[in-house]
Amino acid sequence: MGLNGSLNAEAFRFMAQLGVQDVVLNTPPVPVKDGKWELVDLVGVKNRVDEFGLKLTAIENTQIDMRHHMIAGGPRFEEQLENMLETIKNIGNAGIPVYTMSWRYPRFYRTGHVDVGWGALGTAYDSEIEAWPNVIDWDFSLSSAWECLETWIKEATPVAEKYGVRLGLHPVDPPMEIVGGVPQLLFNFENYKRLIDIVDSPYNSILLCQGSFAQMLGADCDDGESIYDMIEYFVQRKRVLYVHFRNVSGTVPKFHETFVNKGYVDMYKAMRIYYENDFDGFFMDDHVPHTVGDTEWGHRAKAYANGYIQSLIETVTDTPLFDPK
Amino acid sequence: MRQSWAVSSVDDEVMRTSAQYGVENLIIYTGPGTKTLPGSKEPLQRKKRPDYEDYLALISRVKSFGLNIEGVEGGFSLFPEYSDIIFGGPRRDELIEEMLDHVRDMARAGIRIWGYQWMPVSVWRTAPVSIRGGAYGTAYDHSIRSEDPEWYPGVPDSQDEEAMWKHLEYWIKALTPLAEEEGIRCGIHPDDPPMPERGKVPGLLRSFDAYKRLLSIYPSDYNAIEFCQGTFSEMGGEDIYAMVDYFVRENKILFVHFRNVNRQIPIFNEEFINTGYVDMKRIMRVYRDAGYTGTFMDDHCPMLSDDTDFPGNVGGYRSRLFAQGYIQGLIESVTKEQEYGGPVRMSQIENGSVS
Repeated sequence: MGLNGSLNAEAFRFMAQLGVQDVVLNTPPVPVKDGKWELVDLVGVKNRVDEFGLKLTAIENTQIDMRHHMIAGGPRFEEQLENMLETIKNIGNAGIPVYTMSWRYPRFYRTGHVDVGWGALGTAYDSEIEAWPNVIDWDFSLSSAWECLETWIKEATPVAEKYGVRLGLHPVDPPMEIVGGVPQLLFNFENYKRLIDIVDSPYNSILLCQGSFAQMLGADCDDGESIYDMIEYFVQRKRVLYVHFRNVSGTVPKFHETFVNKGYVDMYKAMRIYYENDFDGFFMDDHVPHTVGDTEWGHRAKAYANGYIQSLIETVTDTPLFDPK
Repeated sequence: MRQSWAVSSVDDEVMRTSAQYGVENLIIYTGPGTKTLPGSKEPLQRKKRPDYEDYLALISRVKSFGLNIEGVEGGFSLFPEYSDIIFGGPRRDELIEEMLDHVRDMARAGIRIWGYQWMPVSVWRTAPVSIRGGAYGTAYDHSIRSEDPEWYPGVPDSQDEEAMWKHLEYWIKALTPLAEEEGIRCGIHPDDPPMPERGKVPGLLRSFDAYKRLLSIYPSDYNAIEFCQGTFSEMGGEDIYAMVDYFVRENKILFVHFRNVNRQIPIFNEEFINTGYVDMKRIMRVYRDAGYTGTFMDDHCPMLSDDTDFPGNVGGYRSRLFAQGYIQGLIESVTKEQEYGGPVRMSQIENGSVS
């Protein structure tokens, strides 16, 4: 299970009680010192998770202003690249085995919400109503976008290998070619194939946000490039670190998120593909609909999604997740 | 196979939560023995019991959220005023008449299942125990509770097990013809904990054989079982998988309390749905293969830190929704694994069927 932006005790107790085996901290409150995360602060974060009998398996994202020039080719590209490499080194030295990041800037995300039944709200995107402003004041072309990504992968992978941190990139969400005037790369199958070929190493991998992949144009078509084909391709190549196991109504240019078992993706079928291709990572709930009486974090909806995920894992693998008491 | 849960209140939050999470079938804690209006905490106004109109109102309220009432569950046997039914006292026939009127009202309003208990000493537990991550599960330890002096008003000083069976037979023979005529299937929940005796009162419904005997009193689809899988799996020396298979094939399971425990009597505690000794995927396959078409509900769930109260049995909203997600995923998986066949490369499957 993931926790965003905090080290909240209630959330950790909740995870421990529901049998969560891997914790992902998204943009944890680690202070940014001279553009970097320091080892001492990362060890503190890891110890905090340990206190609850949990395992910090991955960190997902640093603060965006540590890396936006690096992703979108800004004037501070070199400086941010150096600081991020130093941060990766510190993550490794702190004993945190995975760092993932969304390779996207700006972080525009959705255009609204829709009622997914009886007042439950799922986030929604519709390119027709999207009116996001341009956010960068420097020139940035598609070829420079590839240059930035290739530079990162080539520089970061050896550092990651040396310090034992597997790296993985999350798609642009919504998976559009241009977001806020900035050309994007990780919005389709083809570009993801190109990404993992930049450096052929398990340390250059993917955070398979199954929701974002399912939102990619054509992911709902049975033409050899469906969501199921994409999962199979990357799992077979051992390049999936972990999965955001969520569901959506359809693909760009217009879709909304819904309950894990209510979208167009057959989650049982997806789970079979991971298993049959020897996937060794983990599944986490990601965004969950906002339901009546729930907290902002969504304890109830997260409990439901985790119960669902645990039963799918157990039936597909035909193995209990927990030793019988 | 369908999902459900059981509620004592049909307030807006519960109804909307049920509708949002696809809990399409509800069991309502009410029926004979209840002291409130069905589905609420409101006391009965100038009425001795809920009647036909009250059940009609309940059904219409639940339907307005697109939900179905699968059945009613409750216990009258723990109330002293009904002890003559259980122990064959002088007011037995009069009380049975009152019960049958109540059951008829429920049936005519549209309730199709009534699950009830035959436990004059109610359900027993000792102090809850800490389970995973500091959550609590209810527990029973017979070495602590066996000599419990707690006594229940209405329970006579000494009881003979065979005499109690005769009273149960009398009741089943009175109830079942009416249930058949009115189209409401009735079934009894096991003794929980399923001990031979609690507080000097024999527990009749504590084993596989006892249930076979109960069903043979009046062979009918309308003399059936409120199948608390949790309690059946607490029964000493019994094979839970064999019992499920048998009773599903006999068409005796009205609905299932799908919960888990760490072991059988005399000392056990309740667990998370997938951390007990019963393999829930295996047992779900047993229900499937035997042809079960009814519902599964969470029943008791562990008490989590920081949870919010749910108007039902043990367990708050978060704990209950975890179990609900698990149950829905399990139903989906064991259904699809059959449809898709054995291990095949799923990516070669087109449109949901094997190519």
